[in-house]
Amino acid sequence: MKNMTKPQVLSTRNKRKIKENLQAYSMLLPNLVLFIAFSIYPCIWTLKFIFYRYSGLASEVPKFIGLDNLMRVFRDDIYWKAARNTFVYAGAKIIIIIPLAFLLALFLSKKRKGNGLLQSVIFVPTIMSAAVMGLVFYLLFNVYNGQINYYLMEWNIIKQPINWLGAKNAMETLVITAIWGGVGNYMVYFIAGLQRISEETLESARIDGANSIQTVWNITLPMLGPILKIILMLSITAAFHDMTNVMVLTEGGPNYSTMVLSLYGYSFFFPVSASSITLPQYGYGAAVSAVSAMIAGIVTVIYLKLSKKLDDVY
Amino acid sequence: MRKRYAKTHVKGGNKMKKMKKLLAMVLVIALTMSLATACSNKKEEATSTTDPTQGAAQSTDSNESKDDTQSAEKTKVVIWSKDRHDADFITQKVAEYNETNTDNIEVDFQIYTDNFQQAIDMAFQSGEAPDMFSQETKVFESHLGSGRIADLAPMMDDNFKTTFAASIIPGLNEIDGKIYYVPVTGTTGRLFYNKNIFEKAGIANPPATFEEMVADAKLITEKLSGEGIYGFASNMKNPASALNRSLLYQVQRQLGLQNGYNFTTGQFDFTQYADLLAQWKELLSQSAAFPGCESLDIDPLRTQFAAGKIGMYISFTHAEPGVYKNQFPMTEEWGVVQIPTLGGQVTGAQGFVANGGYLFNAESKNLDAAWKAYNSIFMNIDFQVEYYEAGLGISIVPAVIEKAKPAQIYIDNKDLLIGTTDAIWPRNPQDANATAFVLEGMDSNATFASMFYGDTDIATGLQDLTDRYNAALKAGIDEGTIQPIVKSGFDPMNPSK
Repeated sequence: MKNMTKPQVLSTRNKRKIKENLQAYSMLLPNLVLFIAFSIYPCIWTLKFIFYRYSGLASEVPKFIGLDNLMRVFRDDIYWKAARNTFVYAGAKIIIIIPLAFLLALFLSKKRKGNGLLQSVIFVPTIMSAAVMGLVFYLLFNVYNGQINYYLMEWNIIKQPINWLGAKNAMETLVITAIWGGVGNYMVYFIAGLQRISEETLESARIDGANSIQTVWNITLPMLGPILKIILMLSITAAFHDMTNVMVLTEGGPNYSTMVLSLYGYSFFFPVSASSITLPQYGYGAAVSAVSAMIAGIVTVIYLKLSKKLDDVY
Repeated sequence: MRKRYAKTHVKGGNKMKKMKKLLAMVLVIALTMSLATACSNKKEEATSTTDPTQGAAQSTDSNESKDDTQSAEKTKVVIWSKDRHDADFITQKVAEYNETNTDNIEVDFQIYTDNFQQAIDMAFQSGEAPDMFSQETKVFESHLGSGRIADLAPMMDDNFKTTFAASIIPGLNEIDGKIYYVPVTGTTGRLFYNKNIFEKAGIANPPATFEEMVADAKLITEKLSGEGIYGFASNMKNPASALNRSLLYQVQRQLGLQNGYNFTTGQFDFTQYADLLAQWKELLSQSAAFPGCESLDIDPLRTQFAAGKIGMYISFTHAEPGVYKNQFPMTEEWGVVQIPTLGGQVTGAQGFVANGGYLFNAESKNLDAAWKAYNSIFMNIDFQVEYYEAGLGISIVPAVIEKAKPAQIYIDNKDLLIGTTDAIWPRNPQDANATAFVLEGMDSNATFASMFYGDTDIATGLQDLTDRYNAALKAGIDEGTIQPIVKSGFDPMNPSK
């Protein structure tokens, strides 16, 4: 080593660096190829069609129409109704699901008999097929012979059956199903976060005289900050592109009362029966999807700015 | 000693590290190789298409070797149907054909009732479309110009052309001399009612006018809703499905318009719908309708009708008899009448759909085998006679009508049959130019639903609808993608003339 000159040392270091980088890039390569093929390419493909009128038929030549599709989005009342619905759906879902998942995690993360089983039961809906879930919830909620109305009337809580899937209540029903389907997932994230908080910290708070609520509010919640930030971001993005739930239960109806942005965009590529679209309109669908992605992006950026404080761990 | 141990331990650790690195590298190479192989396969395919001689040679070779090893393998013909009401009958006939045919053909008959159009679109896009599939108006219209639907004319012999001459209708299934499908049955919308419920509610006859129908529905709901029985239902989860089997026909009879289109003026005019829609709104209100119609699909509706919970609904004549015989057996007695109009006024013939045809996939490799199987099973006169006699569909083929003894259900319910008040309507510019007619906002059916269930005002909503449809029509005509359709002296009572 002593006999080595300076340039020789550098070249050995460079070689090692190149070798290490090569290893990293070769590890990344398969993922990168798939990412480009299945994410980047379809995005570019979609963006291109914003400027065309095209129904997706092989025989049809796409016609360049400039910004017409984008202008149409701003004139489209259904689009803005879907945007409003998306915010209502996302807001209601997040406001309920996050505190609920946190409370469940808090309760079920303690070593107690039966907690493991309860965790699994609450997590099961996350791995259930959305189509099955839709069918089950239709059977539960339909107005004429649904089980929910049956029991509510049997227990004299209501006198007339509630039209759960009607235009007035369908959104609430969707939020209920979304919470049922997603709470287990967020609960698991919170449990993972709770397990990172050392027992000593909690113990010292208790010795200092903090009661359970004070411990949760002043110790647990602040220490969950970074993971809470991620959970909230995941829940916001998920709520903004959540459409399987809507598609299987209401298809965006009745009367577009549950139409959300992602399903509206989708319906121009694959028409759904409850909407007005009977034939694909790839060009307009691309414009709808692009504007919707912009809205979701803006919401995420605003959230990231507002949530910077959550990074400060005590 | 300790030093030596430490040295060997470090050496062992390094070895482990090297092994791990080696393993990681091998995995990466394996993954990259598999990707590269996939790409190279694509390349080979691409080469074979760019070099036709080489490609042909390759495909012949592979076919030869396949033929050698699988000479006894049958030619598989895949058929997709959208109908469930005749599934038992057809499945049995297909099984018989598979057992007895000497052409070494095996038919794989599959039923896709939900999202049929979407299933066909996706199958074509992924190159997995069936050899034959049920003709459905929207599917036909959207794929007509794509070259994916085979012209059947060259495969038809003289005997076929003579037998099914009445089924070849210019402008409908015969376009520019090409025949794309051969309808053998006809269907249209009629009012189905439960006779027992009418009796229970003290109503002597089925309604003759639309006003009477609304009043009957309200009376049934008022008297029997305590028993879970309601006056009227409609599958409004899908407004197009619900209103294209009811309001569309009612408007043809009442107003002589084809989905708002006036063939004499060459313009859309939905404003004439106002009185009809006001009655529809009453009919679908809580005081008359089955609860939850806005989220009801047609099959759940049928199960409730079969269970004796719905007094009336409007649906297609071809399907319902089979539905209540096989799919949802009904014990109570049902009847069928013409769709009532306001004041019983009739200014036009009611349209009927010539259906029961199959479209052939022009890209299919088994087109000849599919045509053979189609002729042997579906176009066999005995099959069609049996089908008609079983009450599964209303034949429009003269040879079948002559030979068959109509099912008792048709003798008892004459309104199930296509009669003198029914006729084939021409396609309006929207139907004739499905992809070129770009309508902004909600279509007519969704707009009507928003009037029934939302807060859209009927008068302003209809004016807006008229303006938007005419704007879409004008834009298409100006662009040259839509041909104007104006028929001077058009008589809605004889729309096909």
